[in-house]
Amino acid sequence: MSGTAGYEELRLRQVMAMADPDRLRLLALVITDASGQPTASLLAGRDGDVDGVRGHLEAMADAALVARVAGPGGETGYRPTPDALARFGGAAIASPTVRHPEPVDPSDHARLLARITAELARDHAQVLAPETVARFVADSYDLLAARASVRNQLPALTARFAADRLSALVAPVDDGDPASVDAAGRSLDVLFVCVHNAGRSQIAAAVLRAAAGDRVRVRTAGTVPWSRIDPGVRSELARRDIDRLTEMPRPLTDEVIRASRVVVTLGCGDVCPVVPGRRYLDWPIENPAGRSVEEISRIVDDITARVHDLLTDLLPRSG
Amino acid sequence: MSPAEPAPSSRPSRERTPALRATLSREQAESTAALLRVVSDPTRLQILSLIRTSPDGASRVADLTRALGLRQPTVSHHLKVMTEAEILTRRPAGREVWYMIEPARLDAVGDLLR
Repeated sequence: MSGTAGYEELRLRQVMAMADPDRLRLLALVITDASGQPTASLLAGRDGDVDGVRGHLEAMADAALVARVAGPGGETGYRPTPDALARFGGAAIASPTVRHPEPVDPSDHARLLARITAELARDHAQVLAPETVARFVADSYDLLAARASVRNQLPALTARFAADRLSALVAPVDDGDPASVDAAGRSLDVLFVCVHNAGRSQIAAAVLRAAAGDRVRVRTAGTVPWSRIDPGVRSELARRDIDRLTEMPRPLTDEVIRASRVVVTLGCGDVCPVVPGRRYLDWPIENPAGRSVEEISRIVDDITARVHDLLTDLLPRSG
Repeated sequence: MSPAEPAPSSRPSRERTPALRATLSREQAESTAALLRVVSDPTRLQILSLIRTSPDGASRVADLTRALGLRQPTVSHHLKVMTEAEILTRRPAGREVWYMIEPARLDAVGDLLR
C-alpha cells in the first residue's frame, strides 16, 4: 500500500468513518477543545455516555483522524490529525452553506474567538490576566490568518494554537511524571524549528514522539510556516507509520522558545531568536521539499539517527 | 474585561465540560453526514475529483467514462445519485449535459479531496 493508492484508500476510510452526525459533532468538540487533546470522559461530560464516546473516538483513531496521546490521569487523550483538520475541520466547525454560498461572516469568527478567549482565560485564571489571554488569542488568529488556506478552520486552529502558546508561557508544566523532568527539575521540552515547519522539523518531531512517547514534550515551529506538510515527507512518514505524530505547521514565537529546554534548528539557525539558558543544537539537514522518494528517505534516516542520539543524551538510562 | 458569567470557584478546572459545545448543530451534522454517506465510495470520490479539476469545473459523462475506464451506465448511475443528493448539478447545453459540483457544496467537497 503506497503512493496514491494508499492515499486514496485512507481518504475513503476517513470519509466513511465521518459519515455519521455524532462523529462530526464529536470531532467539532475535539478540534475546538482548549487542551487540544481531550479525553473521552471530558468530551462525554458529567452524565454522558463515556463508552459510546470512546467507541467513536477509537473508530476515528483507526482512520487516522485523531491520534491517541497520553492524557491527564493516564486516560487516553485524542488529538485531531492534520487530515481531520484539512478534510473535516471546515465541516465540523462552520455551518455548511446549504443553498446560498457566501463567504464566512467575520462576525462569526469574532463570536467564536470571544468564546475561545473566555474558555482559555478561565483555564489560566490563576496565572494570566484575561487581557493577556485576549491578546494571545487575537495575535494567534492574525498569525494564522496570514497563511491559512481555508478560512473556515481559523477559529479552531486559533483555539489550538493559542492554547499551546499559553501553556508554553506558563511552563514548565509539572504533570507529576518524574521521567519528563531532568535532574534539576526542569521538564524535558524539545523544540524543532525549520523554515516552513512542513518537512524537517515535522520529521524530527514524529521520530522523537515515536521514540520517547510522553517522556519528552515535543514542539515544532517554522520561521515562515507553510499551510500544510510537504506531501513527499508525509508519505515517507506514512510509510514508516509515524505520520500521525506530525502537526499542523505553525509560526515560531518567542514564548515557545522560552518554554523549551532544547531548541534544535534544522536549516534556519540565523533566523531563530536565541534566548539565554536554552540548549541550542543546529543540524545541517537538506530541505526535503521537492526531492525524490529515495532522497527524502535518506533525509529521514539522517534525522532519525540524530534524534536517537539526542534522546540517548537527554535520557541516558532509558533512552 | 471580565468574562460575562463568573466561573464557579468550586468547580475543578479538569472536570469542566467543554464550553464550545454548540459548534455544530444536529441539523448541520445530519446534512454533512448525508453528503459523506453518498460519497463514501471510491468511484464517486474519483468522479468528484475529476469534475473539480476539469478546466471549467464541469464534465460530460463521456469525459468521465474515458478517464475512469468504466462503462457509461455505471458512471451515469453515480452521477444520478449525486445529483439527487444535491452534490452535483446538471447543465444541459445543446445535446450534451455537463455536470458541476453544486456551488453550496464546493467548499466541503474541496476539503474532502485534499
